[in-house]
Amino acid sequence: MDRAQLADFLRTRREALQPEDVGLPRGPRRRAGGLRREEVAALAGMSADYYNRIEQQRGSIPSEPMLAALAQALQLTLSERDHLFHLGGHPAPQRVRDDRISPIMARIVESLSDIPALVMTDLGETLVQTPPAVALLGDYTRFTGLSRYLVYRYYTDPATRELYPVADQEKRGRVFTADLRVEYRKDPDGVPGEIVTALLAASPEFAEVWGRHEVDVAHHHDLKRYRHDELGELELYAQPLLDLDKDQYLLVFTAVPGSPSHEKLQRLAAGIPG
Amino acid sequence: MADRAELAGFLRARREALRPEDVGLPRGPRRRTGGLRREEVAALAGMSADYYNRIERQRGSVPSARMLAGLARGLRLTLAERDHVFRLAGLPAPDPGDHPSPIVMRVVDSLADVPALLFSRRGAVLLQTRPAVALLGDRTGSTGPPGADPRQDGVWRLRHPQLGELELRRTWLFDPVQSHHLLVLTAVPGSASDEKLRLLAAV
Repeated sequence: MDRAQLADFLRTRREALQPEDVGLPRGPRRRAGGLRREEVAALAGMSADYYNRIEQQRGSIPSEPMLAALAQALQLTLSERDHLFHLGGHPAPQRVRDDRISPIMARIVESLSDIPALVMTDLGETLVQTPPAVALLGDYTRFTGLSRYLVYRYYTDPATRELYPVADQEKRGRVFTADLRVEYRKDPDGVPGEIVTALLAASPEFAEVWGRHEVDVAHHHDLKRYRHDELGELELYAQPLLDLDKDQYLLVFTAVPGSPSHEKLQRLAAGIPG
Repeated sequence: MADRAELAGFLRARREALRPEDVGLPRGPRRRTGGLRREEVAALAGMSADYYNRIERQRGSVPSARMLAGLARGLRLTLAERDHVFRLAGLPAPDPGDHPSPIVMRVVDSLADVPALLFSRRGAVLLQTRPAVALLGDRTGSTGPPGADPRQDGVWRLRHPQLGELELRRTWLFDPVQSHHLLVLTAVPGSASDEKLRLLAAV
């Protein structure tokens, strides 16, 4: 618990916000210092007096629900919220999965509309795909329930597995399983735990791979092979770019310029496969 | 020992396989059968067309490490391909941390109208968009500007000599293959800082 730092942090964030950032009317007078204390208090559902005491480093230590309300009122990012909790002497809360993609990421995906690219959560849920990515992999965003997660589809849906050459399938399963284990360690009682329980019941193959406790299987530098109904096999690099604030990453597929796979990607982008 | 014929062959094959849009150039009105033009590659690599021509024709001196690094970026080579080009020129492969991945270069192209900087693992600036140069000065090769620490996100207040104070939000993207951090600076839409960023982009 660091009261001085906590007070300082809250004040700088309050002063960085303007009324219109939080949906309040600006009012006739000038706002040099950002939001007022009583406005933050109202947004966070606490009394102005209580909020004042925090900024003045007096009174009791704010509880976790109070800090969560402040984080929301001040529109903190996930990292900022964690920082706020640390300053208040509390452990950072379990990260609630945020399905939205940041405006910057949305812009980048749009600019990549001529090559296969998608944004996935760390759990393998696809949030957005470019048209060539749909043409290459199918529509990854159309699934519901646990099928939204790639690892679940891999072990329960034969069509997902057919995206990879037979020789690569076993390795793919191991990579997806190792990725799931990382998420499971972070959040065993949440969605990762749900996926593990469901897969242990549904797939003896998964149970066997899961039982091996493999962690280090994926290698980003490798060319990965994909199968396409009309185009046949493609050899692609899958370049990840992580959004450090969101538990999401962009995956962009490229081929060696001049290679047969490069030509196939251009046909995919032009919408005339085959 | 340099292998000029292989080097020229490799560069030509890549140049002919690339489309203008692969390297952030507009596709002109005329049809492109042979990929990029020699003078386009030269411009992307920061050398004269004449110099580049001589390399493809296996004449003149063997290109220096600086020239090769420029070519590797201009032709959007992967790290392994860059090292290949250095070896063909008879030079040792440089630090693997200094070469941006082709996809990240393309992403930076797409952010041409906002301040964005790519940092190496050691904090050196590898790429900088034009608005980033206008905002922070040319920092290519130097280590990070104040406030550009990947552990810091959220609001960054900074003062620009002409535009005064700006309040910018930091978005960090991370390339785990090369351990490069991409910093993108944005402002709350419609805010005074947003207006100032627009001015910077128009410069």
